[in-house]
Amino acid sequence: MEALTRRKFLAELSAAALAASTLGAPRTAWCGEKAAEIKPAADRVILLWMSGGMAHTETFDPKRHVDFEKDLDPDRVLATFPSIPTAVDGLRISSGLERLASVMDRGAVIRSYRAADLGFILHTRHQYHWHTGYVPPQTIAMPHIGAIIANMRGQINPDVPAFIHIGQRLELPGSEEIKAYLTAGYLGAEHGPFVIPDAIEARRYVSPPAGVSPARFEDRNKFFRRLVEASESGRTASSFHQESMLRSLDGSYRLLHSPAARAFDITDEPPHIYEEYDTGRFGLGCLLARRLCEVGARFIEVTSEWVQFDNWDTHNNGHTRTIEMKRWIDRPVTRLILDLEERGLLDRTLIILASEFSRDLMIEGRAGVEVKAQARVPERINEMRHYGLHKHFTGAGSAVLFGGGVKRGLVYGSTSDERPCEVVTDEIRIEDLHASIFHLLGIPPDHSFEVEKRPIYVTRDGVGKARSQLFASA
Amino acid sequence: MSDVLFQYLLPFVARLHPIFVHFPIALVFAAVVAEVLAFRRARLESRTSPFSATPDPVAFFCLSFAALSCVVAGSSGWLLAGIEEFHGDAAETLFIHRWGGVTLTSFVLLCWLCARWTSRRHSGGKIYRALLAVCMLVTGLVGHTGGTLVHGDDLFSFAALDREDARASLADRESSAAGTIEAAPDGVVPAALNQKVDYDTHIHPIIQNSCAKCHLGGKAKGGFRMDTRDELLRGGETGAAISPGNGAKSHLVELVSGLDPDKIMPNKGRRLTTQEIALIRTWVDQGAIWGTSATDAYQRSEKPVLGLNRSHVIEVSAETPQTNPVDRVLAPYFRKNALELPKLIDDRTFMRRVSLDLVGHYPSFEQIEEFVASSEPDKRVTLVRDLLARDLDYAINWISFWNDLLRNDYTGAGYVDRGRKDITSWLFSALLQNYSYTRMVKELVNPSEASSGFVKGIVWRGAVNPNERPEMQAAQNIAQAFMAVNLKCTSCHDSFVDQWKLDDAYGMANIFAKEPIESHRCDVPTGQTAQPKFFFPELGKIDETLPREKRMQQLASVLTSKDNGLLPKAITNRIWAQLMGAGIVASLDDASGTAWSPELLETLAFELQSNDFDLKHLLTVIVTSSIYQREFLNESPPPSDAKNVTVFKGGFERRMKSEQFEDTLREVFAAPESGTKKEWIRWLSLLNDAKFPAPYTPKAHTTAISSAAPSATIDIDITGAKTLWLVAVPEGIPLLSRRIPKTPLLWRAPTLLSASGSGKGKPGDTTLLSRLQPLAVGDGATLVLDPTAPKKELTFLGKPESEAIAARSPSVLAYSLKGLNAKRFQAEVGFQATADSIKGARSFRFLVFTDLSLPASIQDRSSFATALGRLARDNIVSERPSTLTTLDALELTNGEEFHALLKQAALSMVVPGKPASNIVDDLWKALLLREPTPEEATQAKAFLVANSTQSVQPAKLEDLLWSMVLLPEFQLVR
Repeated sequence: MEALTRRKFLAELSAAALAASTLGAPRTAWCGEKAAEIKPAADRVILLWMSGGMAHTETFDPKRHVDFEKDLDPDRVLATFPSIPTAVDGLRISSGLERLASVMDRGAVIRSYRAADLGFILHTRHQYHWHTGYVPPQTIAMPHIGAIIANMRGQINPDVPAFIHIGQRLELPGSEEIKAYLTAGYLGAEHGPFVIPDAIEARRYVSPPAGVSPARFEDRNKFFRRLVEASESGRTASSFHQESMLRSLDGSYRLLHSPAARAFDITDEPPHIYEEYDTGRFGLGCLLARRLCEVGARFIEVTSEWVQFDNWDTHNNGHTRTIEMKRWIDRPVTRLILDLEERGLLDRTLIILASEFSRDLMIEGRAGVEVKAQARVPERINEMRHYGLHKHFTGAGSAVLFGGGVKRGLVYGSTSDERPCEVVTDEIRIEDLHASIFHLLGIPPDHSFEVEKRPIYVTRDGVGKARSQLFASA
Repeated sequence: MSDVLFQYLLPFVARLHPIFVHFPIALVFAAVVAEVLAFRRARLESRTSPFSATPDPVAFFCLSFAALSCVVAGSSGWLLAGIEEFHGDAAETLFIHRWGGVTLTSFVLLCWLCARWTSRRHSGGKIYRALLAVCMLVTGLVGHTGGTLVHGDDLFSFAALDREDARASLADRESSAAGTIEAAPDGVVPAALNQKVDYDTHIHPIIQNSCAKCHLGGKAKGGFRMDTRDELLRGGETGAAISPGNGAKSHLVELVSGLDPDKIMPNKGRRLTTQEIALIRTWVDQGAIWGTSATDAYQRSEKPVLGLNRSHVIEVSAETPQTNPVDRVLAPYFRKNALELPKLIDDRTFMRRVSLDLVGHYPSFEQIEEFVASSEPDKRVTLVRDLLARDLDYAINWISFWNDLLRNDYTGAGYVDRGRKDITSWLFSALLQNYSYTRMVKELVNPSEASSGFVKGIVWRGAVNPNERPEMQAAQNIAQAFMAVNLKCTSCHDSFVDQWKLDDAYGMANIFAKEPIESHRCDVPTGQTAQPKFFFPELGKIDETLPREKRMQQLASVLTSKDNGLLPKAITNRIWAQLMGAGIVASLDDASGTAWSPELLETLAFELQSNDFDLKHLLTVIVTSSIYQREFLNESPPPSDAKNVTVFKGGFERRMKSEQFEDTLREVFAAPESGTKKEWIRWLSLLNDAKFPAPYTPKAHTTAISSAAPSATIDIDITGAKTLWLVAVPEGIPLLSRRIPKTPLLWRAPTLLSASGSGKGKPGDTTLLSRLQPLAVGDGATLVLDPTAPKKELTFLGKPESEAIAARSPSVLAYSLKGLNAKRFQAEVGFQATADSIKGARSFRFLVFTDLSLPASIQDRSSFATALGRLARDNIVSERPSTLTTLDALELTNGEEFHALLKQAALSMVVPGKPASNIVDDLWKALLLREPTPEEATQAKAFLVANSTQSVQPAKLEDLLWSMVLLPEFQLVR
């Protein structure tokens, strides 16, 4: 009975869906040359966002480390952790990432990412830059890379939002700046993120409102449909707005009733797996990401959450806090990779682990420029709280790619072994990193949308170039 | 014989055209010189009328030969045009040149005849000299077009000279680095350069110098043109010229490098230098990003016409007798397009529509019935007048439109670093007092402290691209908001899509700059600094020697000058779109766009201008027009980027604004208020400035309480009130100010009395209900408790925050009175602390409001508001999304805030014993402004209760409310 009603409802709305689907279609590409069709290597993306600035020398690009001792000369310290071997011959990463070390053969380390030099550093500006490829402010609202991919590649499962963002609360200080890039911008709200601040709560976002039982919720929907049918305008000729409203309401109804909705409930997971992921909100975010990836979310970002002076934003006590941050990521990210591999999804899923910039103990910004320092470094380190990489560093940074189409076991680019540990070879900027990501998804880096009569490209001015060395098959 | 003539002789003569043409040019010029010399001589000899003298013999001689050579040059030219091929612009130039030549020949012959006449008859000297002058002018013009055909169009322009300079200096720089300028050795492609190469700066000068003769301006030797990037990609007979990203393997680079000695380009003249080839190669490597120097594939729109076109303004006349300007234009428009007017709407629909549009207010069923029943002939006009007289509601409603347009918001990017400033209090009072539009513009462009946020822009910490400096943001936003001109592209490079130049954007920005800003083209410094100027310099000069403030003042008056027709047109178009669902020009941000009726736009803009830019007048004109009082089309309005103009058939149905939706729900349900303390303070500060106009007049207020007069008593009737608001306002200080002294104060011993509900007491007995919490909990204030202890807890509605309510900032407390049946409120108010601790304290007023509502337009953007179409205002929002997305719908399906509101509403509406059918009737009247149809009534009743004896459950009512407010009939403005 229920199925029948539902089908009838859908049938009534099919015309509306048809009419409105043209609205949501990507706007025409600009007249420029049609890039040769790129065959996508991956069809979904999980971006693991190390929010706050992950030091490359403390994670995926270890350098000479000096243990803490009294009266330590800060100049000598390039890293505070020893390095460990990995599953890839000759590749060493920082200790505390032992599990990740065991799966490094599933991915490629990029050691030569260089963040933009934006002067006096504001995290959210660099985050905006990383996520949109453009430096803020911009004259038009730029879309998040997830929105671009959602727009270009569409939904995999019509019941699951294409672009999902996990782990960021949006009422903290600085959130307004995050909202500035956590948007579909000029692409229109249709491609915007489905925001889940806390993975553990995710089920709630696809459930009836609090306190409303499924039966009551069902009654309410049925009654609403009857009212629409009974109303004069419900019976009369088609109306653009009416149809579009009903279509969207149907979409949300469908999401709530879809089997995919269960994927949002991470407590549904077997306890031993749940525990493996549970290193905190970030770890559980990875679990949610895996479940959503399985049911067909196109682009998922899991963030360690931007909280000023917290998480990866280590302005003091950096060594101790980095131990904790590594604990956050090591187990769940490894599990995520292995789980996807087990399910045969790793080859189709591109996992990116990245951060807005790196950190250094001595240098604020990059070598050779004077930027207002935002952390104090004593002449000699005598206290543990001064032992760590507390300054923002843009001269180099690491990003790790796993899965879909990525050349396995690759180490791309290098940095110098002495301070400043800046990029030496194969420097890669955001435009090319994005171009490479787009390439793996079959999107040309100079694809453009017409906005206010002018072309806006998916990489800045269309200049991005994919680095074929990163790909399993060039 | 004729074969020889056509194949060889004529083409040969034709090719001599470039030689022949020099004769008339030189000879006409010589004739003029001879006459000038003769004139001087005559003056020295003080002859009476040198103008009327007979022609100078030398001049006459020259002129005779000029006439002869004109005929020869003209004929050869005519032949040549038949042989050579010209395309595009060149073909157009050729046309002008050809007929210019014919004209010239005629003039010279005429002049010669006249000279002869003058020599013989001694009269007509003036005509002869005038003709000679004309001949010289025409010679110049024809010569110039001829030159353009041969040498390209910017041979003499300053741009060309600048480029020569740039090129020379570039060459200098490079030669000093590389030693000498050398032609490239054959057969080697130079290495890529480690620099950013820009088309305009680096590449275009090379093409202009070395390739233009054969491949630019419509010329296509070897089938190859270089006017556009597409043409480079397409290439010529030998294939694509460039492959972006691969400079070394690009055919163009191979040719200029001389890889094949038989095919070297340029095949005549100077070879390219290594440096030049390296630049081209690097440019292709970097993706061959096109510039704006060359003509290109983009269709540039024309510069918008600045003035109002009075010929489009339709005045009252015999054919157009209508008094309403809109009617005057649209009556003939519909006739001409043979369109049928949509049906007239009834009073019910009109009242709902116009109330929402003008004051954002949802009328009650009773108001509608009264309006429908009224037999007053001009009742619609009266209604419009009455609505617009509600200043406060008007301001509350329209502040959303202005906030969007002026990107004014209460939260958003930039505030975190104090890189942004809101203009809410200025804007609100501008709307309350109905400032003229020109006054608004003036005060925004040349601001006071309160309105300075608009030109301040959004400043993020750190280094910012030159095209996003705050001064440039001011330029862009002023251009977009007030002129519908897009300077965004132009702040980085000359526009591809219209006529604006880099200089226009930097000129505007430099008005606001403390120090002149060096122009940057695509982030590369140009070495030039634009003069401060408005991008329509004809409106008035900005004096660059004046200080910044004076320049801004000048800009304000230039912008608002009467000759600036774009100012009224842009705002007229925006307001029309607000009321009719789509603009007269589809894009609200494109002054160059085509109006479906230029007459309407110009007539309304003129109406606005000639009525002192009174926006309420414009609104009145539109909403009292015939078309506004007709059915709206229930189809999709033309998109703002539509390429073609759509014929106007009527206004468009649209969604209620999110603020209107929210406010209507709150009003209909009288639901308790949400919002945070911060938002309440914002709202009260706006009211404070407005002296609390009705219906926001406080129920009670004290005179100023200060250390001299430290307390006062309040005792008021609050019968029937649902909520109670207690507010302390420091006098003479804007509520948003942070400079409020730390003064302990509180509501001392307030008492709430209710009629005895127990039934034990006699009627009129009162019962002490509760003590209220003190206002001030910090700063040393203490809580005064009545020993007779509270009997009932009041529900606190304010949202407790970490920064608890304290006397340090203006204080607001809100309580629900639901179910208390409260009748009176009594309180003693004043400073809690001793006189010592309030030294230097300002005075305060204490205010009591009941059922105060916090308009959504003043609140921060919630996810609920976002779902209903309110956007972030980090950029100007000209149009809100017209449709609901699936994620928006999800928010309405299970969003917390929305459901809390519905739940509260349901709770407050359930009255024990009230039959379901009455509830249904009431709801239909309140939300849909009509009675339910029998079918609806049956459905709804059946949904609410299983049988008529059952009482209505709040949960059921809540679900009914949800279903009703999601009905398109409720959500749409029809």
